[in-house]
Amino acid sequence: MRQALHILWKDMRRHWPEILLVALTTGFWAWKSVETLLPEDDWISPGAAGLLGVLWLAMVARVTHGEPLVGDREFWQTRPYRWYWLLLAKFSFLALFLLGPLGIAEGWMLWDSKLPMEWIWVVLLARNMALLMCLVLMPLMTLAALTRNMVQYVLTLLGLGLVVGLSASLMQLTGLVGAGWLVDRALPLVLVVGTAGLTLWQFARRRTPQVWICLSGLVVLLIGIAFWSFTPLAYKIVYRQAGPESWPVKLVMNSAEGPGTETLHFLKPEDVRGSKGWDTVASFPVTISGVPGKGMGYLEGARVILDGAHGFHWESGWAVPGEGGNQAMLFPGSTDARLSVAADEKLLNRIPKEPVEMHVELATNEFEVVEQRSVSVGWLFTIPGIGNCMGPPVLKGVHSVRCVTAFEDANLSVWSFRQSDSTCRKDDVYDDELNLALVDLSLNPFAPVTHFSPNLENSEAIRGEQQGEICTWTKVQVGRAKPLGRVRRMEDAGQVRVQVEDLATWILVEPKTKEKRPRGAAKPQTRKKHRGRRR
Amino acid sequence: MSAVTVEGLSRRFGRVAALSDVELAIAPGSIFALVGPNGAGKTTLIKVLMNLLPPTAGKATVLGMDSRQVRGEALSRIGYVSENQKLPEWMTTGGMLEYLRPFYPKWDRGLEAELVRQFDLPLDRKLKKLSRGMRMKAALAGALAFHPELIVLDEPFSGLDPLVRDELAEALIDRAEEATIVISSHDLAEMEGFSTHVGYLENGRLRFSEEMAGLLERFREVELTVTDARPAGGLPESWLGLTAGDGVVRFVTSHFEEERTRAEVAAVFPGAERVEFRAMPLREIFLAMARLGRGRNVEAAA
Repeated sequence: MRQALHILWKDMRRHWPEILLVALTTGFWAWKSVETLLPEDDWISPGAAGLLGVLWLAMVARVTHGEPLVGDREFWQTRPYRWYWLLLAKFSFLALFLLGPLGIAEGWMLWDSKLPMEWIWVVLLARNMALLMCLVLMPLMTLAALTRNMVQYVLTLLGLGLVVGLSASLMQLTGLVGAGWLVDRALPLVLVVGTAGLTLWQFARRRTPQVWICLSGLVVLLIGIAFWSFTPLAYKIVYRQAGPESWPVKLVMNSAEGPGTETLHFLKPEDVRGSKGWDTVASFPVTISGVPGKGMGYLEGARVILDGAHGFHWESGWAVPGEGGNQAMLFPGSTDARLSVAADEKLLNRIPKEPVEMHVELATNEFEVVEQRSVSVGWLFTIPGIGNCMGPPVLKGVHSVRCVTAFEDANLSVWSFRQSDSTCRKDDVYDDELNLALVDLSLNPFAPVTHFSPNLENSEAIRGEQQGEICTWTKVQVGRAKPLGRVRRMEDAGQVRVQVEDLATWILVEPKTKEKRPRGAAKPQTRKKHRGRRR
Repeated sequence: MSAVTVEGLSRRFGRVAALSDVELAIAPGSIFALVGPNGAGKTTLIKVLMNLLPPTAGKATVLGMDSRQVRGEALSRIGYVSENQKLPEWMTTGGMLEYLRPFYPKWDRGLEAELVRQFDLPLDRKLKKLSRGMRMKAALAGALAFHPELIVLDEPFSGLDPLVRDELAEALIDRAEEATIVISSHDLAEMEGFSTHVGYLENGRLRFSEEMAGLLERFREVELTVTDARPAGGLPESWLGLTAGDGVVRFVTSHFEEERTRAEVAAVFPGAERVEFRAMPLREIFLAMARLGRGRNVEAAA
């Protein structure tokens, strides 16, 4: 450990001008970001962010090249360095002098945004820093570890950028099957596991047994993640089974055919143009009730279990309901939702003729509303607990309010926004609807802590029917909910028939017999959509 | 036990064999000069010993451990300096020595000060601003101040003026009592002055490895006056580079024993009138061997 500290101290003494420059640039960028809520109207803040990016790129290379890992003429290679202390020293340097100033700047931005500095923000910041380390700094460090000097590093970086850009363009042009898989799963995998492996390999220049063990572990992990679905296990671990104290949630399957005659229509997309790679999917409407008065939540996942005569049993995989619409939200009283389930070979080869018992297992993220307040929307206004926001007081059509706030994880805390005192006409769709502002964890260190845009748009009906009308929103209801937990519950959906139809026939020939899909309901989903996380 | 043992060591770079089946043993406490022409494999052999390169076949043992285990703590027992080593040039000489101290449990501040004084090192100057000789001295100070058991030097005298060479050699001789020294060099006069053993590498093969005194005793330049320069029989294998002209025959014998050599001369040149033996410095032995090797290469190519 003393060796790591010694190397770190040496690097600090060598790079102190760069450390100072990064700290000053980070501070300036944070100050400008807080001062200017709408960065698109300002070039200085993005300019500072760009400069910070360049400094990060250069700093990673300079520090790693302090002990070059390529070649056999380097002074340090014949000195009693322990490779793991060297690696730790380099990581520590990046954590302290790149992530450190950024973390402090973000903390200050949170504080400035009137956000209480509770432990949860500290945890979220730490998590963000860890992700930045894994997804940004480690790949850059790997690149530096594979190159001899700055020129090689920059040229390789440009080359990689070119290759990635060309590959992405090719995938878009050709619509390659599996491209979605590549982007969703392979890319982060390659980034994290691949760069970790390469970094280890390079740092332990003399291939020690520990390196072989670590590399073998990484390869096993890589194969495991690539070929084995962790999803069922993840749901099982993360979501606890509903107990007697849980919400009395009930699920009822809605069907145009009427109660007792529900049918699970699986649509086979084989003959539909452009449907290559689509799953055979059944999408069915349900009503979920039982959420208490102060409760709210959303469906994180659902799966269907079918049991029939002659020992027929089939379980679908977990799927994320909805596509970002409100159908996946759970509110007090009854909530209509739409669930989707993909058929596999096991079901398609053995479709039962008789009705079967259907059970739906739901994985829900549950919250309790702890705070609601009415906020006047002005050009610049503060929402206590969220931060400083900006938005026009008069909204017409699609508009958004922009706030600077902390990284917010929907699993930890949610904010809801609701229009009140509007002069706009309300319709059924909009009434009592909470637009949840679920904010993605930002991985971009060069954007303000988070800009999120709670969607305060009017419904399509209003826009369409009252074009040109000014809707004045004087007040917005803002609510904060605290997490209660993640719960898994099995619901009995009664008896259903299972049918597989051709999607082309369903679309072109027989639309009348099918239920008209409500706005925002799921279309037959692609693989990518199934794996996508709702936000 | 030998300080360094090399058994059947080979190292290839693609199709090129840099080392072929090298066998070598270096006794503890010796100063071993590794000599040979450019491209003979000296640097490759040293890099294998230092685990900078893995062997393709065979094995090397350094201070009792496999060369592939020479890493981390083991390197605190070995001082290594190479002519083409990249030093941390942004550091000052004093800064480099200060930086190195904590890496070595046996670092001797007194010895460090002595070496700084002996080499007249400017502690506050950056390494990049030092001359080549000064940089080499700074590197050597950093490689000697921790009382290494093995000192490995790859062409340390290359491109240095005689004064600096002497200073470096003196410092090495001072350390010779407590360490084994392996040194590859083209400066054969310097090598002859303080090496106890010598090994000759040629085309990746070790031609010989023996004590310096024995080698100098073994090689002699022989000159004889003859009326007929045509040999009466086959030449002994130990005769190298035989030339004849104006009634004078010259050659080098690699297995000199006065009586035996006189008998060989009498057998090959029965009319020889005057036979003189001249002791050869290491440089001349090296040149004779190198010419022989080049001749062999030409023959092989033909």
